[in-house]
Amino acid sequence: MTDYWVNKLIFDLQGPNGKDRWTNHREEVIAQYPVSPEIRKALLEDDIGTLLPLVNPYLMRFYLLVSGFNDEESIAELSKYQTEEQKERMNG
Amino acid sequence: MAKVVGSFAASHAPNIARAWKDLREDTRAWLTSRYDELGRRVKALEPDVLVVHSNDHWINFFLNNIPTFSIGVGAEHDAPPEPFMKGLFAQENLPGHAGLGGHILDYALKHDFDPGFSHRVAIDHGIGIPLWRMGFTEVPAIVPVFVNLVQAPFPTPRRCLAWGRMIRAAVESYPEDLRVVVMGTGGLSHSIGETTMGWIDEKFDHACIEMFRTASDAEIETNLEKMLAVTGNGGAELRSWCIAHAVAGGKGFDLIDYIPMPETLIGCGLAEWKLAA
Repeated sequence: MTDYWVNKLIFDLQGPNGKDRWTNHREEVIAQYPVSPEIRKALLEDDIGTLLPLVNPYLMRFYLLVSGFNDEESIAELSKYQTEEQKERMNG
Repeated sequence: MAKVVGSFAASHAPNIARAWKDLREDTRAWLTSRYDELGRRVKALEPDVLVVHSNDHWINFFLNNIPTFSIGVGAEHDAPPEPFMKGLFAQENLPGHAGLGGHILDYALKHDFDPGFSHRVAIDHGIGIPLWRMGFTEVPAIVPVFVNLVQAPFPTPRRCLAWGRMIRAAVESYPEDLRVVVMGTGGLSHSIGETTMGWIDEKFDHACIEMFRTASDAEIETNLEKMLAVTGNGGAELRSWCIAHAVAGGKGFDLIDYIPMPETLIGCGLAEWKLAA
């Protein structure tokens, strides 16, 4: 289920000073969007598992970058949530 | 009359620009030589206008407004705004072609398509990376066409093939003498921001390459839909290759090269469709 406001928050972080705002003023940024308490908590705790089904994958990619995950770390974090079917598919 | 003189496709992974300095030397060499070859072929056709299809990557559109197809009809467009794309073009803004863009829009509306349109777009990395790596001294006029490939539901491969045929007819009904190259950018397989991120599905990539070489449009319509359901989300961008394929009448596929490229997270491919004289 796509959550409009958490996607909007991440979309807006693409603007000027996004990384700085997210790194140093996260609570203030979140307060500008009517996200649910569960999403607020997930954003504050980098709880990717909760955010994953709610966020567009390309925005999730950006979210991980702006949260300080490099490519290897992003792949490692996201892979925690792979299904057995996905693992089989990736292994051919 | 305007004439389509070439049809091409090329990958557009952001890491090609974002991580350029950190890529392995052999990766940079591969990218340089293959995109140079793409550029050599495109420039040899002396295009007046490039009609470039790509997906927008959350630069021009958001969830409150996502057109399935959208045509840039302005006389000028913004250069890529992503930080990693800054300074890659000599031109501050990139030229559009309002005449041809507007004509394609009119033609589409009269032929059962209902695209959105914009009088000024930001050319994001999807279009910007192939243009940058092709090494234009000055980028020719561009008619950017955005195809929604980032937020489902997406247009079907069947519809993209039909769009490509429409683009060919639209260009060739434009009264001004223009030489037009059409491009589709993106792909091949990749997986971005999802649980399988980093997966390069070589089996899918080789199947797509073979499909463009030999399959009928009916086979592409049926098979690609099934293939896309079981590969990474970036595979959706093969729809842009379908458009380039249909522009060429479904014939003449010539792979410039392909390689799985984990550093850029994609199966990297470039191709030309040789048009019948």
